[in-house]
Amino acid sequence: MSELTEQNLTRQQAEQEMACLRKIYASVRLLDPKMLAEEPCYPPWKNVHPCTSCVGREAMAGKCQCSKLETLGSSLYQVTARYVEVDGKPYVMEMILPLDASARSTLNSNELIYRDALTGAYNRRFYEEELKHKYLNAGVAMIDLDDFKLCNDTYGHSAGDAALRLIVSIIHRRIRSTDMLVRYGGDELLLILPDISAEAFVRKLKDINKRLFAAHLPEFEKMHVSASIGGVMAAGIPISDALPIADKRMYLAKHSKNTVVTEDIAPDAVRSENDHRPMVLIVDDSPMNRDILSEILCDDFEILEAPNGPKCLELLNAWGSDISIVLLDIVMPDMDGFDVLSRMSAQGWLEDIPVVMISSEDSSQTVRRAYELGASDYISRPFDARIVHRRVSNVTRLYARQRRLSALVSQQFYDREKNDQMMIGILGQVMEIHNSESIHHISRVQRITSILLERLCQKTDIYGLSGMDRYLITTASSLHDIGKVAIDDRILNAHDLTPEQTAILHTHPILGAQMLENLSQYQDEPLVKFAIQICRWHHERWDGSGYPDGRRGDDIPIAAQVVALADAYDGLVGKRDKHEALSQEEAVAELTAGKRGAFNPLLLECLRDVEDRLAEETEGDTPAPPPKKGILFDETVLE
Amino acid sequence: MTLEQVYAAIGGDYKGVMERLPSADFVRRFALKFLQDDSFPNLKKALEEKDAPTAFRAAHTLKGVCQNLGFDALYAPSSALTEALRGGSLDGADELFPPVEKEYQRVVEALKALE
Repeated sequence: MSELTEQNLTRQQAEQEMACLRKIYASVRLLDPKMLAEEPCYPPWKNVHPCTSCVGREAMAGKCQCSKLETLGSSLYQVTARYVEVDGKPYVMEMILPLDASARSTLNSNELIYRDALTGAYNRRFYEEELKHKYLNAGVAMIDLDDFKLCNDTYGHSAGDAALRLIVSIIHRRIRSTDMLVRYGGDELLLILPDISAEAFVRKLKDINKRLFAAHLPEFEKMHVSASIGGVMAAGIPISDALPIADKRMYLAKHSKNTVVTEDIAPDAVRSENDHRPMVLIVDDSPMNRDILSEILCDDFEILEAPNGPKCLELLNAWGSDISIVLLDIVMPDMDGFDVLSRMSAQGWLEDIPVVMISSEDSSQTVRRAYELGASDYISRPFDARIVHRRVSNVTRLYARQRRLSALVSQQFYDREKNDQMMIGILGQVMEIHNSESIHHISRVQRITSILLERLCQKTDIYGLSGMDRYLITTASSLHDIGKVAIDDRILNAHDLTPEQTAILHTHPILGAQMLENLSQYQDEPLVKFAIQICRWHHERWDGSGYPDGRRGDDIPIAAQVVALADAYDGLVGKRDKHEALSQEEAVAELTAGKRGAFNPLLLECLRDVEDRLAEETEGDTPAPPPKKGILFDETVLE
Repeated sequence: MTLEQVYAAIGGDYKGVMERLPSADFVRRFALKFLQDDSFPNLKKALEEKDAPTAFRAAHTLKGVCQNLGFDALYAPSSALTEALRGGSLDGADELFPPVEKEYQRVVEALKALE
C-alpha cells in the first residue's frame, strides 16, 4: 500500500489519465463504490476465476493503491487498483497488465472473442472452438426461455435484451467459477457444470429454474421470466454428444414450461406437476373412428368424445374454451359436421377453439366448404397417425399462443384505460374545488359522449369516424371545461351574473383551447387535436347562436357537437340540487324542442335512440366500468 | 394366420397401414375391433328397411373405417355403394350391395382366424 498525493481529479483529467494508461495496460476501468460492492470483477475473470481478494475494495477502503498478481488460465497478470476522487466523488481506477505475451494475447483476443457482448456469457464460438470436443465429467443443461419471442414482440427488443442480461446474471450468481454458461442461441443458454454429482446437478437446475421464475425486471413489471431446462450427466462422451440429449429433454420440459427435466421420461410424465394437457373433443358417430383418433392423441391430449352434433355443442357449452381443439367428422345423423361448424361460428366459438375436419369426403367442394365455414384444417382419410398428431398439435399451439397474446394485449389496454380514468378522476377533483359542478359531471359527459358516438356511427358514416377516433374523442371530452380553471371562481359559482361577468365566463372555451395549443410538443397528437376542437366549440350551437365563434352546422367539428350535446344533457339531469334537476324524459324533450339551443337533428335522433342506455349510465354517480370488449378488439385501436 | 396373412387374404394394404398407423399392435387391435363395428349391420338393416339416408351414412362410415384400416378390397365396393346412396335414392343399391357383403364376410372370416 502506498499513500497517494494526486487523488483529486476532474472528470476530464481522469479520462486523460486513463487514455494514457491504456497505452500500457490491457484494461483500465473506473469503478464507483456501487460497482465495487456489486460486481467488481473484470468480466473475463467473473465466471472463470473470481478473485479471492479484491484489490479494488481494499483500495477504496484504505483510500490507497493496492496491487496483486492474478492468473487466468496459465497466464499471469498484475492488477493495480488506485483510489481517486473524480469531481469530489470516490472511485477506484483499476489497471490490468498482462505479464507475458501469452497473457496479453489471451486478454486481448480470446477472452473478448469468446464473450457474448450483450450478456457477458460465453458465446457460441467458445462452444464451437473450445468446448464441444471436450470430454468433461459434467452436468450439461440446455436452458430455453419460455415465450421469449412473444416477449420481444410485445415489450420490444430492449426488454428482451434486459431480460437476457438479467437471466444470465442470475445464473452466474448461482454457479461456481469453474462452471461455464454459453449463450448458445438467441434465447438458448448452455450450462456446463464440471465435476458435479447427479443429485447436486438436479438440485442446482431446479434452484436456477426457481430463481428465474421469481425474477422480475423493474422496468417491465408485467413481464414474467421463466425457462424450460433439460439436463444430462455427461461422462465419457464429448459435450457435443451430450447436447442433443439435453436439448431433447429441454423440449419435453417445454410442454409444460417453467420445468426441469433431467431424466428420460415419457412426455406425459413431465406434466405431473403442472398438468395442462390440452383437451381435444372428438366428434364422430363411429365409435371405431373415435377410438382410433383417441388412441393416436391420448399421450399428449386429454380426450373428450361426442357421438353426434348436439352432444358436441353440449360439451362446448359445458367446457367452453377449456377445450383446445375440436376434431369433427362431416357425415353424421341429425346434425352433420357443417351444421356443427355453422353453429360454432354463430356462437363465436371459432374465435377461441379451432376445428379440424376429418373425413373420407375428399371432393374439393367439400374441403372448400369446410374452410369457408371456418375450419382451421382438413384431414382426409386414410390418414397417417403421425401427421394427424402433428397437425393437431400445431393448430393447438398456435391458438394457445394467440390466446396468451390476447390476454397480454387486453391487460395492457386495461392498464392504459385505468391510467386515463385516474387522470380524469384527478381532473374532476380539481374542477370540483374550483366550481360548483358535480365531480361526476366529467365522467358522465365522457360516458354519454361514448354512447352518442357509437349510435352516430351506426346511423351514418358521413363523419368518417374510426374506432380510434371514437376512443380519442371520448377521452378528450373530459377536457371540455378545462378553460374554467382560468376563470375566477366567484364568477363560476355566482347565481346571477352581470353582463361583464357573463362575457368573462364565455371566454372559457378559448382559454381551454389556448392551454392545449400551448402544449406545443403534442400539437400533432390526434387526442390533442380533438381536445382543442372540443374545448373551443362545445358551446357552439347548430343555428350559429352559440359562442365563442358563432359557428353553425357542420362547421362545428363533430367531436365538439357530440360533447356539446352530452354536456347540455348532463347539465339538465345531473344538477347537484336534486330539485332543479330534470328527469331524463324532460331533459330529452327540452333539448329536442330547442329550448337549450339548437343541436344537430341527427344527434338529437341519436339521443332519443339511446335513452334507455342513458338511464342506466346516469343512474347514480358510479365510476366508469372497465373497457368493453367491443372496443378492446377494435383493430384500429390495436394498430 | 398372422396379421400380414390376414391382410393378404382379404386384399388389404398391409404395407400402407403399417406405415400410417403407429404400430403393428395398434393395427391388430383395431382390425379385431372391426368385428364389433356396427356399420355393416346398420347398412344391411337400413337397406332392408329402404331407409336411404341411414344406409348412406352407414356405407360412408364403413368406407371410412376400411380406408383407415387399409381394407382395400372392402373399401372399393363400399365406396361405390356410398356414392350411389348419396343423393337419397336407393337406385342401384340392389346390385352394389352384394359385393360389399361378399367382401365383408371375407374380412370377418379372416379376422376370426387371426392368431
